[in-house]
Amino acid sequence: MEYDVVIGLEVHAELKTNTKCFCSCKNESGVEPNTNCCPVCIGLPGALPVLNKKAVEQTIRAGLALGFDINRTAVFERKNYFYPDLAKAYQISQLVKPICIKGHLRVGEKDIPIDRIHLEEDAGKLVHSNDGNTLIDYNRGGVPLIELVTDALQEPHIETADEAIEFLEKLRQIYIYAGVADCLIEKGQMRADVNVSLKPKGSPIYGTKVEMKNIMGFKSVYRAIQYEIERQKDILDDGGKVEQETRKWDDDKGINFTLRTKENSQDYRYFPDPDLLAVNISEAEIDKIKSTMPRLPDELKKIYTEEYGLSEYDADVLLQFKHVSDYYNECVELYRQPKTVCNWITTEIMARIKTETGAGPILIDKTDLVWLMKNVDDKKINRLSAKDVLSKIWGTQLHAEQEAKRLNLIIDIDNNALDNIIKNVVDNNATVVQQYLTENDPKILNYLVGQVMKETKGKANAGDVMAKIKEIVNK
Amino acid sequence: MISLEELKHLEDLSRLEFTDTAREKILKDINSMIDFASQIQNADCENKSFIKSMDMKDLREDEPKQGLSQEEVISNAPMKRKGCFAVPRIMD
Amino acid sequence: MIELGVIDIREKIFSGELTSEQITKAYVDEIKKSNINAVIEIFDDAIDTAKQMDERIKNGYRGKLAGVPILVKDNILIKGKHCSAGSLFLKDYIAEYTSTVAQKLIDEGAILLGRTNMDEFAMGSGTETSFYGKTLNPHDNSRVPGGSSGGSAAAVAANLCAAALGTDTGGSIRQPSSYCGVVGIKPAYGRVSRYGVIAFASSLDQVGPITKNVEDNALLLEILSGQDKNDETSENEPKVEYLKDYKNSISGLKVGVINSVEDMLKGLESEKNYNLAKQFLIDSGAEIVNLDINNMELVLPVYYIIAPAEATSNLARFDGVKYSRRSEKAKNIDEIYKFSRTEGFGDEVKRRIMLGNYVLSSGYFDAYYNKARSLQAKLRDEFLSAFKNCDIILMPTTKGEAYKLGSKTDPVDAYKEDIFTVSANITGLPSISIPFGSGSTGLPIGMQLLAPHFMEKRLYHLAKFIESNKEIK
Repeated sequence: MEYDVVIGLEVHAELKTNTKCFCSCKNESGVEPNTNCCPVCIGLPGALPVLNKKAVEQTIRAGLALGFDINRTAVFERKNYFYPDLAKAYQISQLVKPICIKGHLRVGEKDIPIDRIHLEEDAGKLVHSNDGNTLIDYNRGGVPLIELVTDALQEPHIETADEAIEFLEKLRQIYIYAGVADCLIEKGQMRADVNVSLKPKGSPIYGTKVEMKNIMGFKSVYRAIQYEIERQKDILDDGGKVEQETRKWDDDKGINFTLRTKENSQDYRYFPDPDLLAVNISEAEIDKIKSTMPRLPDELKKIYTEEYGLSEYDADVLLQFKHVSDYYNECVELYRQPKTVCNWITTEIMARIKTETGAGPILIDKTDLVWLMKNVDDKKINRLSAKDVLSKIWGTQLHAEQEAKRLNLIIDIDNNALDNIIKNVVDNNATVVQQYLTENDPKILNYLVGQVMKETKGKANAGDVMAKIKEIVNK
Repeated sequence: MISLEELKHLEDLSRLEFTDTAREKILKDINSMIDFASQIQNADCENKSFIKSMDMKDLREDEPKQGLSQEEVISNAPMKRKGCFAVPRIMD
Repeated sequence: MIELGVIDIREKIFSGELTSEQITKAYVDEIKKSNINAVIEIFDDAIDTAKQMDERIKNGYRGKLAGVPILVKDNILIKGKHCSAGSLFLKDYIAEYTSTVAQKLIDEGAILLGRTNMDEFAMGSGTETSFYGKTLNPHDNSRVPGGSSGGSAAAVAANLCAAALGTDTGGSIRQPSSYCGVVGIKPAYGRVSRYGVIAFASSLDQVGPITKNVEDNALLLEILSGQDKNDETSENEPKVEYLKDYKNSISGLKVGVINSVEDMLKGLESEKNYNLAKQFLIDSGAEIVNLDINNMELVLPVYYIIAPAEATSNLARFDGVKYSRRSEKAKNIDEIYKFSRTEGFGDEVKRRIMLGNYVLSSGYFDAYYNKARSLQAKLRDEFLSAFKNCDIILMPTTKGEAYKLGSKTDPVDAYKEDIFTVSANITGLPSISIPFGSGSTGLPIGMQLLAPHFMEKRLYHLAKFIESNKEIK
């Protein structure tokens, strides 16, 4: 039988802020356990949460980047459940009045509807120690987190694992460009829960939803979705019924298994947190955030392709990493030759920073790269020499101009002197010139150019030299 | 009126456990408490609750402050290991 | 000298008639002699702190509470001191930080003398549910001191301190103040920071002073009040010197009385005191305004839905993982939760946690919690509009004198103790209880005054007037 697949996503991302969501502890990872903690985030008796303005701003920013409406009053609720990583035995979250309502994200030709983005606090970390205990570190407890929930009951749907991944990749890029989150997947800064349901092709009735939790990384999300679609297809093809449940993805085995059935579903007993006030968000606050919104990938791509005339492919390469496109934008700002700048960055720079999992920092100052590009274009330095200079100064404190001068690579030979050198080379290589004139082999011409370049110690422009040789020998 | 079954569900949500004899008493108590609380159900009123609000501009600024030391954080812990709170291994 | 109040002690210390060490020692001795179990711990550094304070005072220090010994309820955190909320669960808990209210006392030079007994997690009206045993009413040892701040009220009445702090969620300062014959205020919600005070019901809890006279009370509230950046629910209200322009006259004051309250009072012991109070006010030139407030009879069930709902969530952090008592029987995380909480909490706390989970659980949430919140909003509106017609509202604090120890065995029966006090918590209004006559066996009974939000000044003015003039007739 043929089925329609409906995929829903719940995506958590840790916000970029200095402090935690409800206390002034540092929002920082990679430090000694329980050293970024205070009475509030370890749930001491009598401690009270105090909401971080920046966390609200960042949530609004994320919402605006995805075309959300912003609720004028946002309310925080308590989600009650016991787990050792949850210090207060409730998580402060948002249910009835989240900060952002109704947005969308374009995936291929589809505008995928998104129900909400709400702000909540992250839980601490559990470490299973080999002494038979589980250790609890609350450094991450209380870190601000935004949860985005797609609206799987509205069309168009995410229907394939590929679309789901494209959604996630694009969302990640938008969060990073908007400056709301770093989304380092390997650090767990962005995590997705997935739900999948199948219905007979064309049926208006939605099938039973199965949720999958604990999926680390997009590759696993892809596999988990593929697996779940097949699992449900098999059940339905055999005339069975899909149970509403939460399943856990086991990445090693490549299978999932039941975590909680519907009967055992948790009752979170949400109610408004009486320790916190509702937050009034004014038009002025929203405008302020709008006016400081960095340019987002879609907008930049339009500029790159339509205004700068770059190919889609090149635009995508530049946009893949925010620091690369930032660098590109800054270079173009200094040197209005978008195509030239693109060529240098997509080749020379990318080759140097690309790693297996991402891209490292760019270790040459933009003014130095601009100097090299400009002087190549002005024929003040040869392209090859410029690349040498780039290699020499990469990752150092050296500057392009000084280095080019130190290596004596700047083309400063005057035309008379060059003419004399060319004349001498032609005169001294009469046999070769003769051979060239009969065979017209470019290799022979290149040999002559090489001779001239040697004489000039590389300080002439090879193109010019070639033209001049041709001119002389053909006379 | 809640049943014994529902009472056990509440025990579970509460992370409490009663002996069978205690359960009899608590069931009676809870039911008379619920009965008492149920008086409100006949009252006529709009479904609108009062909630205090504040302007976003008055929220806390995003400036870090010194919290507790690791030693202080775990000072009352019933069990601690390597700077962390500890519980017997959790199977998940 | 132990009979002295806060301001008297301070002035005597400043004038050199008394030292902080002397008065602190006197209270320590009195607490040790006392048989009412009002104080569960005398801080071992109290006398040393008093000695140091005497030195500072000699050098010119003039804090508003310089050298004055004050007790705090066992749910108010002071760094390095035990704090247990009267519960076995927190028996060994030592606070890692200091509450804002305790810090404010310290900052004005008070000597924190010790902690007072209370109903476990402030749930109760007799101070009978504490892990540390019952507190006795100092006026009649066979009776309760009231609760949950029974230890604080009894300690003030028994001259075990100059003054004490209590907390009030549904009457827990005013009702014991009534039973012990002292002055206690539940400030407007948001007047005083709750940071570092073990929460019972966050939207209703307020800290307030319990004192021997109105002036001491006003001074202490002045010190305790103010917005706290650690408590979003604390309000940015200007500090008020509550008795600054006190005049010994209430002529023209409009005192509201609630018709339905008068109906409820019929046949109760405090009816007599209430009528005397009303007459006293009329005789003193006040105008009595009759008020209709709908659903007054529902304020108690509304309270017994909202308070347990919040308490259930607030007490969930007591899970045996992070601090204090983990069950020794527990072998895994589920047992740590279940056994630690079952062993650590007393019956009343368990009942309220269970009730709170009931009203919050899916299927019942709208019928109970949401409905109660809606009724709360309505009651609040009714009180606010009542204040368009009057300046202040008069009510009894309690139904009568303190009841006998052990006489409230049915939980719902015990809840009805709060009938006159909970409306101030449900509406967030400030309310004070001041002694007004006595009951059938000669034990004290208090009258309660309510004012609009943040108009504690009105409460103090009328309370001071009553205190100064009621003996005249």
